[in-house]
Amino acid sequence: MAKAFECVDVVKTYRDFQLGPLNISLEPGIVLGYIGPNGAGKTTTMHCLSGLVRAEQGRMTIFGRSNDPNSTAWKQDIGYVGDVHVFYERWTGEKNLKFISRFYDNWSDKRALELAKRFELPLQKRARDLSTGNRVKLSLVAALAHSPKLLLLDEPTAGLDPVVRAEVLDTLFEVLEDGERSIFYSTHILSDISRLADELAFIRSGTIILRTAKDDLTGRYRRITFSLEAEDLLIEHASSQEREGTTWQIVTADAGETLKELHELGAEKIQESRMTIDEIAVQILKNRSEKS
Amino acid sequence: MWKLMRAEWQYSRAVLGVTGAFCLLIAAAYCLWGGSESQAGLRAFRVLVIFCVSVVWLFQIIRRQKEAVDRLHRLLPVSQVQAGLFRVLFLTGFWGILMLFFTVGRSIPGGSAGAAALGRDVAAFSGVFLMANGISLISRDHRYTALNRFWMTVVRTMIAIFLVSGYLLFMLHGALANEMGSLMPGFDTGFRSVYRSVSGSLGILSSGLLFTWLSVYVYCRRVDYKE
Repeated sequence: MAKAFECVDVVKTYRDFQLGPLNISLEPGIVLGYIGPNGAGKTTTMHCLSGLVRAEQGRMTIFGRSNDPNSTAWKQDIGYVGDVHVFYERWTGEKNLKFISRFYDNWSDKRALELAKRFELPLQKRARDLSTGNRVKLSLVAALAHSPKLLLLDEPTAGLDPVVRAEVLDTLFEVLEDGERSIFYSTHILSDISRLADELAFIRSGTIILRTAKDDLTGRYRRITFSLEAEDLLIEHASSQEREGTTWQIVTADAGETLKELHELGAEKIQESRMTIDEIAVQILKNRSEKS
Repeated sequence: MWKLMRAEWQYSRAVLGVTGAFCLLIAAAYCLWGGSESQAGLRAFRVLVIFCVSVVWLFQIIRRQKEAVDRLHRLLPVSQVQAGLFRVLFLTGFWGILMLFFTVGRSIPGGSAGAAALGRDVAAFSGVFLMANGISLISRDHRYTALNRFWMTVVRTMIAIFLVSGYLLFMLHGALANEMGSLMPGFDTGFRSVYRSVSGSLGILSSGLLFTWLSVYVYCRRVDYKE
């Protein structure tokens, strides 16, 4: 089966920023979390995949079809929730959905209404009168109602309250149940993606610095505290280290090897603890030396 | 493209309907009671059409800036060419309907004797409208294309020249024919001789069609549809 999407040597240049060369792909049925600081290139990647922006170099395919701006077939397979939520402002949410439904072969009015009800979305309100959170919800309904095979979600839970955020994540879980749908999800809220994602890709300054399975990441990274009389330490695999007197705290990407090394150095009171995805992500993004 | 046209009509019908109905009412009144002096009638109709289209055109420009419509359409399964055609053809269609009523209304008092003059006038007028419509879209789109700085300057200079020397003068002349003639007699005579000739009016219409095509071409050359 064709990959959900594939980017090969994609480059998009702006005045003071370049995305790429970007090489990333997504297998069907996988949720890929796309994590990076502000300005890293997450939204630009989404814009390129959705067709809003044309890359200068490279090629992009959606389920094996080039995302050619003059072809419409590939757009039937994607649902996109972007950084900006655009509608006919004087129309109600219902009328906007009716307009959008005309363009999708697999659109289901029943599904749209169910989603709107679930998100408590006021469909009779004009788009211009909707709050930011409700605009996000309307975008989600529009993106999900035609049951797309690939969802491109650019920080979809931004602006949502915790209850609706949980509802959105539950809905996305349901979308994944048949195992054929894929989600490409960029976010700052790592607690969302830690629940949903199978794999994580970290991007910084337009370049992907690491891609790994989520469980592999949480399995590898540990915070280790220990006591050791030493002025300076060089621990392989340690991505950060702090010292207070003789007490050291390091973060390591390979706990097994690091513990061996510490034993050899004569470290005492060694304690290791697991790290959350947020903490690991901060370490990875801070540390330029992590390689993909 | 027709789905976009239909949506645009539904969305804009208040503005289109009100301005179009106003124009048609006045035109009907001229046909019935004011059409005996063909020259005066022609000028009045022209002013009405300019007013009507200007209102709708401004509405479209303002809405485009406020509502990111191009971005919405690019996200839908609509091809780039269709989206580009829709943008230029919607207002052109409205213009075409007005021109139809204009032509029918003016031929009633003028009869066949005025048909040729009317035809040349409609052709020239339509050409200028198409140029203005095309230019307004090109001026919006060209900054998002991959043109380098030199070509951007060329495009912007052409837009400025057209706006100042072509469109504004033509519209002012059309609306205030006698006043312009008294201010600039040579210009008035020369200008009228161009657009009232068959070749001149067809030339203006052809230029309008060229700008219409260019507007779709530049739209399809955009590398960025974010607004």
